[in-house]
Amino acid sequence: MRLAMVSLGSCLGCQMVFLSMEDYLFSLISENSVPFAPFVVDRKGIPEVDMVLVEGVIRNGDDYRKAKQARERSEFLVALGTCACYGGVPGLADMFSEERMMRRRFGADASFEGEPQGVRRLLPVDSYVRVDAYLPGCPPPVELMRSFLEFSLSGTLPSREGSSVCSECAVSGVSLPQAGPHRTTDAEAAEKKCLLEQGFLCMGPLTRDGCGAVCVSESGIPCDGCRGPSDAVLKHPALDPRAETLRRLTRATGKKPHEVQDAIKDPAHSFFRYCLAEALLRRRRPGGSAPFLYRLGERE
Amino acid sequence: MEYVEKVEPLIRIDRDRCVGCFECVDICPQVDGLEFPVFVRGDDGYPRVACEESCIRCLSCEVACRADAIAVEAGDGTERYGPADARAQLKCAAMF
Repeated sequence: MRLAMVSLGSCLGCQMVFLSMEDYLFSLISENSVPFAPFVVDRKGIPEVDMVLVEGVIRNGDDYRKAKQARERSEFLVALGTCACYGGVPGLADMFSEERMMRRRFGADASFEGEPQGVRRLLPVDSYVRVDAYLPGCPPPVELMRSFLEFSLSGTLPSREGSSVCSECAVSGVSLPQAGPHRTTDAEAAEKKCLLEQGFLCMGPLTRDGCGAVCVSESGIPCDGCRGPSDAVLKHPALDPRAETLRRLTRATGKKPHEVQDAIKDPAHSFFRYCLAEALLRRRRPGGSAPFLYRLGERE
Repeated sequence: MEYVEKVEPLIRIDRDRCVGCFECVDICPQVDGLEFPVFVRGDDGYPRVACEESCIRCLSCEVACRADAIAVEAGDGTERYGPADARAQLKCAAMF
């Protein structure tokens, strides 16, 4: 099978995962042909392939042309990483209009002549081209990517019924109510205990499983939702990530809902860090279906 | 004494997924002050379905479960929020 890897606007972290597969990468390259992959082979132009892994977001016209070319020249197109599946961290740019964002980043007197035209609003790759399979993760865990490639290179594109990160998490409960809500920088979390019940904002209940919940169970870091929304969040239009998390934090801390809500300063970053650009969640974003949501206090 | 027909198992708790947060016990309207509560706190740290006949099929437990461990069979076959968006269904079906 011929396998290619195309990188659009991204941090190239998914490419590093591709390289991190180590011994499997050697057997993959020897058994299949990899004619186009930025970190593996040096070649200009996407050739005809059977499967192409696309990572990153479509930020400007160049990215769009590259994605379209990848679609035309391959039989299967796989969206690799949360950026390609849901917009990921670059999707947070939807908080600003394109012009505001460029001015903010490059200064008021910057000139963009001759630069590729940027998109007005960022959207996941599947809003532009047809996508056959998704592998979310920021970046996808090495083992998950390896099993995905093993399945897909044998001929069938895999999919699995997703649950939430909590179902994989190996922590135990604590007696309620607890202090909070607080952040990991302000308070010390007890080891191997549920972080949400200790008053930390953990997105585990609403995030797709598959990572093994290593952040929460092994390192004591609250889940920030890097695998994207779970099946339940995607399918049920009334399930609001903010309301669900506030309800759980209210139960854990025993405080009033508005007190908990006031403690969370940046709802867009807290609840939609990796999926702000996802069209299915658009009505549930902090700014509703408005094209751009400005950060608090920055509206002119 | 009136004969009560035994209902089919309505509520299933997946032990492999359950994390023992007892959110279902807290949110269920048919627990507090009832002689036959739907859920009870089991001694092993997991909730247990005690009396399914008390269940009113409000599906609060299924929605609230953070680990997606509870499945309540809505007897009439209706879906919780109506049929899901076609795009969401396609996306979920292709997700790994």
